[in-house]
Amino acid sequence: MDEDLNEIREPGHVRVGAVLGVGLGTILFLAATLGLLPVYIRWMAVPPNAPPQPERFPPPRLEADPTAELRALRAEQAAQLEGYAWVDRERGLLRIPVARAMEILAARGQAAYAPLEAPSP
Amino acid sequence: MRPWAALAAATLALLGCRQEMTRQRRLNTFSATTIWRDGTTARPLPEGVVARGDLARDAIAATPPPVDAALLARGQERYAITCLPCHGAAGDGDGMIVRRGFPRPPSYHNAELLAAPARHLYDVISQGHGVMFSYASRVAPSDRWAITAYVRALQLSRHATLADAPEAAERLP
Repeated sequence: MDEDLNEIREPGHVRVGAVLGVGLGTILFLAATLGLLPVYIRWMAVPPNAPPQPERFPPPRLEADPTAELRALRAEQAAQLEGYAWVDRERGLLRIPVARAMEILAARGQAAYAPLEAPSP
Repeated sequence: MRPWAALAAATLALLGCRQEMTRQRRLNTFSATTIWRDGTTARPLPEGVVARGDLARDAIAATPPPVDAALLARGQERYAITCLPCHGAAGDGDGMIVRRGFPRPPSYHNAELLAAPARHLYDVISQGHGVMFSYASRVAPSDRWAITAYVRALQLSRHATLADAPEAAERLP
């Protein structure tokens, strides 16, 4: 069988320049990266590595005792429906119990639906 | 061998079934069709059709019932069931639902609602307003008038004069 004399063979010598170039280039690249990284960090305003500071966050908005809260709200709102007080003394406006207001409206008959104030222009 | 023969016969009979019950000649809901001119299988109501009871409800809506103690008591009860969770017992808009983060409804005691006609309050119950949805399916028309009258009572309880409640003179601080 004939040998193919044109086949491509590995050259007998090493290209020292290319090997050294790749090695030195890598070192140069690393050095340049390390040197420029602080500049880059300062330029991007990235804070330096520091452990995160503890911060306070608001407590969870949970109803720990819904029954008691509803009872408190009902008591508070039931109190709003009772008692006499001045709302606007200059205009002569009063706060009266709702039960009394219902009596007054029942006496007014159909006029009870009428608005309590004239519409503002 | 007789059971085997019976089983074989039954299997063969099953294989002969045709799935006619599941494949029917029909029009699917909302599918297109050429049978009607509007091109859809959904049929609109004929003109003039109303739901049963609509005319009676409209009649109640048109004429507010006379305000008496019974109507106001009914309104107070219905208000406590339907409206109070958001609007609050006194109508300030600070019910429990609002305290939990739902948008706050306006107070009944602001100038705008003090001047609003009763029809407006009735319509808000019927159709909703802002984030309030319609209560038409939950509150009957007669109860809407009762609630409207009770809302007026709530407004009057913060907007009374000495002429309205002469007994207040001796109880005021």
